[in-house]
Amino acid sequence: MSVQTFDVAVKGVGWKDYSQDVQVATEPFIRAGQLRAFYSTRYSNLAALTWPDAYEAIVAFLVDTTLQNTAPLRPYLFYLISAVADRNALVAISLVRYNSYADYLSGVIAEYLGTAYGYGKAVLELVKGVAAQHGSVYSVLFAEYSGDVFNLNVTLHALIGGVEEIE
Amino acid sequence: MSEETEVKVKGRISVGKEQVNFETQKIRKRKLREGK
Repeated sequence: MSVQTFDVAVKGVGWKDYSQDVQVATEPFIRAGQLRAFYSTRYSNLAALTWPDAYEAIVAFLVDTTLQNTAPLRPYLFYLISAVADRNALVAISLVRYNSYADYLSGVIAEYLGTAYGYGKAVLELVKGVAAQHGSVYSVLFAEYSGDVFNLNVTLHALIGGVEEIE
Repeated sequence: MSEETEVKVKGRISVGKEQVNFETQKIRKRKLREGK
């Protein structure tokens, strides 16, 4: 679970003002009818990249034991994506959406849903979640800029179903 | 953006009780959006 914590402000002498201690959890509560989905991919010996190049892989959707490229009718809600490198090099991760598989093949991105950077590890926290739209293609862009051949672990967390109330 | 190439990976997708392992994946090169 990933929790973002803010420092409690101290004013004068006395009790700390805990009303200012705000926590934002990126892992949603699981409700009845929801499933948790987990993607884990280990890439080995990928050729070196230079900024701003990145590798792109489609997020596959598991429907009735088969994988498909486009989002199914039952919505997936992505809420956390991370990339972890084997060394302390700059790592980038990004989630993008294409309107269709044809758009993916021609490279026409409909929207960027978030990008995160970090040294050794990049974590993209989608606090409100991103609900997959039926028929769209989602892909993850990932990169490590050590200038050398690299390994990378990419993980993606999602919920399935019950996202109708998301704004 | 480059053509897709198939690379060896160690991958797993799990949805509830269903689980699928995969050993190859198609990836391609493209540029990150700059300034974000």
